[in-house]
Amino acid sequence: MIGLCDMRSFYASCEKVFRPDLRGASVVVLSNNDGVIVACDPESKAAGIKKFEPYFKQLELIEQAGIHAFSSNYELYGEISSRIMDTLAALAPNDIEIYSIDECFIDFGGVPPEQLKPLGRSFRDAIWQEQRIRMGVSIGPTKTLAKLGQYATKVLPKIEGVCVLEHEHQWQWLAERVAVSEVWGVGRRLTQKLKAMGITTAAGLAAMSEANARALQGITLVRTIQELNGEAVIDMELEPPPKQQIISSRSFGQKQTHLQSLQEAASNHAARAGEKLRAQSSVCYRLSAWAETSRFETNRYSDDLCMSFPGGTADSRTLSRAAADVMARVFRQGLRYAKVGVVLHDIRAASFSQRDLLIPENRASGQVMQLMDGLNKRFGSGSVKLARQAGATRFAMRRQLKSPNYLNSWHDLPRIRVN
Amino acid sequence: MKIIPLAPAATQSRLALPFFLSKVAAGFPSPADDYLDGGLDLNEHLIEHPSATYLARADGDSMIELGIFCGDLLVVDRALQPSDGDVVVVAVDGQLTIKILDLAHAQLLPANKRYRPIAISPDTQVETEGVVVHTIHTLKGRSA
Repeated sequence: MIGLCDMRSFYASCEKVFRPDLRGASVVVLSNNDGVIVACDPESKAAGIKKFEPYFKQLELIEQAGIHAFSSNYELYGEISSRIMDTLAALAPNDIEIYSIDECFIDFGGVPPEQLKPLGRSFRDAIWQEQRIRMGVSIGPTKTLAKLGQYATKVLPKIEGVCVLEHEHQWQWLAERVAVSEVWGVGRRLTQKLKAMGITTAAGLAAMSEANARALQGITLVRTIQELNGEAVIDMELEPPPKQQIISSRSFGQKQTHLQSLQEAASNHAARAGEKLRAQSSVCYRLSAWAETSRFETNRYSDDLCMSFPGGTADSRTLSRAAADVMARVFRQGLRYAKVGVVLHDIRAASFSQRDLLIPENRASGQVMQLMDGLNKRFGSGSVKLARQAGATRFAMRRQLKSPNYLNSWHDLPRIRVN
Repeated sequence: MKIIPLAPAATQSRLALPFFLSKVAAGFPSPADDYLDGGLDLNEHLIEHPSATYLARADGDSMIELGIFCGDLLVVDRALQPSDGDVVVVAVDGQLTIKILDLAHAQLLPANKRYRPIAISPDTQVETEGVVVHTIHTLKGRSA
């Protein structure tokens, strides 16, 4: 059996972790530059908030309804996500597959059927207790059915967030009630085509003949249908052990004492590592960078920090900005630095990564990087560089309503009134 | 410039302190100290459940008799089930504060005579937000 763990209204919920006063309140999260609303909790949805609509158009409603708006706080969401995944990996009986920032699959193979529900419940309780995030757990014989089960955890309060689809009549009952657009792997276009054929529910799709499915969408749809009927054909995608990290580092010719030189060097490493990442058609979810003094220095010092990219990135601009930010945080005045480096972690195939709605990792980004790589290949490495690689000033996103980096910054730790 | 794909490395902890076998005040140090390569990790001592632990700053004086001073760094563990007598971070009507959990008398106790206990009653909304396992009080650079 395979389980899917899904964090409820993840971004909005993250904003409530250190703000218990907001737990009953409505919260929305804005995109980069505070443009559109990208996440909202059920409370704000009920108040009439529309996702992916401009923020300014809904400002009046937000103020009237007393909704709390936050700029996206990637650092916080990334950190909470990685803590959740660590917790689940430690609890899980077998491997877990991190599917997106707020979802993961868990292999429940070998667990006796009667233990599935209590186990799922204990995972849900642990995530609430340790992370203060609500999670739905749905377990089924296939990944597609596990995904389908999430619907039940959202609409059936009496199952208390845990759904086990063990018998055929259970998933059939559910499939009759779930719109076909909710089925894993069914996109908007396919939904339209299916609708034209009179198929509107998951059950309708499950009953489609293989020949029809193949004609309509090829093997992927055939597999979806097999999975809807309880036949597991989509495997767990476990992180491949090799090439999990790309590291780029070099010792300085001369010891460096200025932040700017560390930032230039780290940006360079990040850009080079990004090139490597794109060459293997991957994206990464985390970057760490470090700076160190010589090991022969009496004042020996080394520090590193990690940055997360919730939706994954292969954009040298994003990577080098993160590397420069890390340098700003680890840099200490008065030290003679000998070496800096950058490591890209959590590397996955670009095609596989579920794109995060918060990140403007749009087509333009891919095109710019493609162009840059193309020019550098043709005219020699380093022909086209980021300004930052030559020590440009940092540009800052507009994130006026951002909550503190409670977990990632010494200055932003939660302050607790002791009175 | 070297770009080498590496196997995953543990980079969880970033703080390594030198570890000396001989006592600090014992006169002539052991000549072996120079060759020690191990490190003691303070995080290991302070944090039992890394993914469930957060740090916070104390702001106020209601817990000074227990040694929590204004500005202290608190290590808070959410994985621990709070038990009677624990110092806990608690949300009282949505506001975070720190108290001693007195389950026997259904109340939250301060550690400062100038403050009063808070009764845990059905009309106050009380939720524990972790057990305070350590407080880190910085001495250097502070005025008494």
